[in-house]
Amino acid sequence: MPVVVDLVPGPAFKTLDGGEIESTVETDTDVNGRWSLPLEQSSNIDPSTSYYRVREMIPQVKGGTRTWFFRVPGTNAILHDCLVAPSVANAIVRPTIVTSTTRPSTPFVGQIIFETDTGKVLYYYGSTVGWQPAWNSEWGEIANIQMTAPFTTQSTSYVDVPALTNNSLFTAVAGRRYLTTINCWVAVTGGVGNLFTRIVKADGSTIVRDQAFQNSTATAWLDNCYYESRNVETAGVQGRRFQINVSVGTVTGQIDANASHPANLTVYDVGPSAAPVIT
Amino acid sequence: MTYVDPFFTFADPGIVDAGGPVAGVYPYGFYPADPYIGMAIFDSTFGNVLYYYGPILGWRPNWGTAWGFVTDIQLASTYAVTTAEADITGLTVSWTAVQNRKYLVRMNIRYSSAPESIGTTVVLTDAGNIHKMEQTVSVQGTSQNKGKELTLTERYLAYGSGTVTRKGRASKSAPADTKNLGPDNSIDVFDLGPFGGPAYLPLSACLWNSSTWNSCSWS
Repeated sequence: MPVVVDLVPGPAFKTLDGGEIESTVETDTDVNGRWSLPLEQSSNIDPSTSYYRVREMIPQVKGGTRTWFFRVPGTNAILHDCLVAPSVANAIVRPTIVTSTTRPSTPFVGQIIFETDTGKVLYYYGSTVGWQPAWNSEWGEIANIQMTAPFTTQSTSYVDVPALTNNSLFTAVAGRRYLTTINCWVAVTGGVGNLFTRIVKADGSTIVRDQAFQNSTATAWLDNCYYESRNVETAGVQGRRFQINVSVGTVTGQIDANASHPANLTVYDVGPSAAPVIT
Repeated sequence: MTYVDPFFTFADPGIVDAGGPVAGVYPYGFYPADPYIGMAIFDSTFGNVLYYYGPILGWRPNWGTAWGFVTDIQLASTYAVTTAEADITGLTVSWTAVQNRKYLVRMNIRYSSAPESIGTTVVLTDAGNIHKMEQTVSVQGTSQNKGKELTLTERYLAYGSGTVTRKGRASKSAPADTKNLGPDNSIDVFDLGPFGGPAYLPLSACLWNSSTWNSCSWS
């Protein structure tokens, strides 16, 4: 059985004479699975934080490759007594190369895969959370709805802006934080009046964020609308609804949008709010 | 030299079992010469964990996550708006987009004139002055817009790789008025994540006509 031993993190030299240490050495086990190698003792290695990695190339049917990390003492020793825990940086494991349709059927928590068709690197967080990107990173934009035609109303109570409403916009993961943003062009015409806007959840009443646009003199005005709110959600399908109304029913409130200035409602995953639910 | 005898090789040693070959630690500029798609490295110069996505894309962060800040420009100067639409001096950014990635372009403009009588229009455009987002502000007879922040965002989907440019432009509808923008006008660009898988190879492009119907090349 082949055995490969190399230095981590990389090239290293003898402290005593500056000679470079062979970076990789190989040997084979005997029929009993034993092997031995002469190696430079760690106290004579520069950089001093270096350590050895050994890979025993065991066939997959016998359990697969085993990897250990160790430092070499000043006297002959057995591997068991020389083992060390690798530093985090050096303990990065090689992802299993799969596609999105050939993920491991019996994954273990912490297993890493690289999906060649989607390019995603995913970690297994158990049956509840499943395969996800690294928990402590931002997962980025997860949903967007865009409106490219104007919407008007004279309603004095909140009404949905249909093109900026979706009751099943995204699937939330417990323990994640979400940022919802709205960017649009708002207007009032036909008289003096105020415009009220808000983003609510799928129930139509739980406010994510609201903002009023008030003007006491102008009979027609335009303004910029951009705001955001950060929320923690319960796991499952979640919605967002953008709603508006006007202060008096004689004026017209408008969300102005076209191809040159579309209105966007976007939801981002901005990182964890708690540890993942591992099951 | 010291001999290491792995007598207890198959006993549980009580340490982390990496579960497979360990990815290497490499300084920037000394990455593996023969990488494979899916290979992971730790860049010890910048602290980045990178994955190999083939010769076109090279070493990148996890494709499935947002890569965050890309570039920005922030100006200390104030710009006097012209009647005809024109570039806001210096408010231009360019970046190299990666195919199948989403980008957020965000322009922040400070409206710094008061009083104003009618509107000023600010526009986010590409290099050819094509409007990508625009906003007109109009509040007659007041000065309540002084200091107002205008935020325009564009969600840009990169269907191909290459240089992308965005500019800030502005115009006004009352030539006699003085309307100023700034200081601190800015454009920021962020990578939001993917909208498709990585493009490992160049897309094939084939053109043909009656005489050379079978000509084909990589582009």
